[in-house]
Amino acid sequence: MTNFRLDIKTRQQLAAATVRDAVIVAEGLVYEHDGAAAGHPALDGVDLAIGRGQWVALVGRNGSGKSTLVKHFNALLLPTAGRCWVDGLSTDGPENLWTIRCTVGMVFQNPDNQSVAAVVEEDVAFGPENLGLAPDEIRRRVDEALTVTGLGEYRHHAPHLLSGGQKQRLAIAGVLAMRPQVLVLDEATSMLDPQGREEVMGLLARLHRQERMTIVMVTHFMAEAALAQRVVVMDGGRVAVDDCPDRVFADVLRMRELGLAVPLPAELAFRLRQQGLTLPAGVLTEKELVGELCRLS
Amino acid sequence: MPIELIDVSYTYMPRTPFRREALRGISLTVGDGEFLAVIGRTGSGKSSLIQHFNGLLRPQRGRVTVDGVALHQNRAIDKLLRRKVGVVFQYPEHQLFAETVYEDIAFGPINHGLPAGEVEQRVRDAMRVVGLDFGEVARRSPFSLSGGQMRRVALAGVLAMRPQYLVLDEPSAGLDPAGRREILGKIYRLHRRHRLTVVLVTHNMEEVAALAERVMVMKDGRVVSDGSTRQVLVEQADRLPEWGLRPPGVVRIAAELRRRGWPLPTEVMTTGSLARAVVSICGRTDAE
Repeated sequence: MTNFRLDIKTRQQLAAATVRDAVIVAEGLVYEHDGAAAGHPALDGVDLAIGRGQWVALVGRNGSGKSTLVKHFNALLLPTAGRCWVDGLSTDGPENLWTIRCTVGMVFQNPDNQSVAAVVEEDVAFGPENLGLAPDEIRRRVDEALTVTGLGEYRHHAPHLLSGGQKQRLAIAGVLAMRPQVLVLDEATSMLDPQGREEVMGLLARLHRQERMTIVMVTHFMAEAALAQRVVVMDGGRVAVDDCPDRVFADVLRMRELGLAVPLPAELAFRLRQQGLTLPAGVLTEKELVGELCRLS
Repeated sequence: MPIELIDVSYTYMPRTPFRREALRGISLTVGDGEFLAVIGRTGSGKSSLIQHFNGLLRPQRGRVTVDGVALHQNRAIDKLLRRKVGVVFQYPEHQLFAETVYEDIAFGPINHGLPAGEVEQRVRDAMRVVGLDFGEVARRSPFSLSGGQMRRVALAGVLAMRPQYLVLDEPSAGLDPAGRREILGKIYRLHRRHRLTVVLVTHNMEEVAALAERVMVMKDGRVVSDGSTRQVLVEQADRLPEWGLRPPGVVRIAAELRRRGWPLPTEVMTTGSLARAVVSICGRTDAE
């Protein structure tokens, strides 16, 4: 997996870029599940803006509110208090629902229950068909989505015979055919094997770089989060940390406190530093770690 | 006494156009007190394999014995053998069903006709082992718990049967890193303290490196490699991609450092051991 961060290097640049052109804004977002104990909202005042074209990883321990938060991004959930804006539209306006769902596409965890058709290309066409588009426009979009996701050669296959990674790429293709501005993935790799995970992450990297797609992904894999431009850590229904990956994962103790870990190279660098080796902060990839160690010896 | 598979084959939907050979002539022994990891790509046959360990699937060819007794002779024997082999399936929390945590964990022991006192003792023991507080959690609905806690309830339900063999399919999938560390720590302790035989099916190579003593690699329904963790993950590291796998991060980093002249021992497979080895090498160069 390659690690690229485009031109954004510092927290200041990140913040500036976000404010300049935010596509999603959460403002004092509170969400209480029906029947949950009062005083324990799943979201407890989230303020967060996601800039157009950003790749954001959302991490946090089980129950920290990550999934609940992203479900607000396409109005699957509506805030108990506060507001969520998608491309300038408030999610609590019923008249905005259609536009918002077209703006933000969602991919979920289980590769086995996201396809609707018996043939790959029909599955991808399902969304555009429902938009009532002309047949040749549908054709164009399906071809494009299959090409981008690398599924062209499987267009006539049955979805259930694909591998896990292919099924998730198919789910992404189905969303892309809707031409959304934002792609939200809720633990989309957690049921895949390593090869499947790599396929999906490779595709996200391509979508981000080439198509300038805005990507918000919820994940428990810190190595995946490290590939994003920005890592937002949730805890107890609030944003606990929000920064570039190298800085987030440099603070190993804080991450442990938040029930998380850091990618292996960062963990190793941390341990070596504790034992007196002088390694710079912000080591995130295997390549960086090996390079720094060789500089030492 | 071991679990033994002799030339086991299994095909899903045989004699139909959808037939799929899941296992092709597998022979293996899971030794007593072992910690065995089974790895391989999705669809390589891992889950089909472990369903033979407690008789959930019946081999179409070959046979399975537990502690020397063959499965699928008659119901009474199967019931006995099943008690010995506890299987925790993927996302086991989806199988929780009872109104309270207590009832859920007690379900197996009650079904086996154990007296109430013994049942309660087993529930308490199992909850202690997985780190759930009896007073706090036993009377709650399992569905009011967090994902990590629900998974521990499911594990406790299997442990309450006091199995000799514990077979786990991706026990850490979907958990946060702290939850993952915790549940694997519990499993490892069970293995060490009670000499429980553990078979761990996982995609996480770091877990394999840290926990397993022996590793078996499956591909297309066959066992393509079987050896000590070091043999499979380090000595055969170059072959892992052929089987759709990657060596664990520590092994990759160590291999790269070795290529650049660092004299790292091949025992290095965990974060701790790599850190120690690097520090000792750097210490040596400092002293020169």
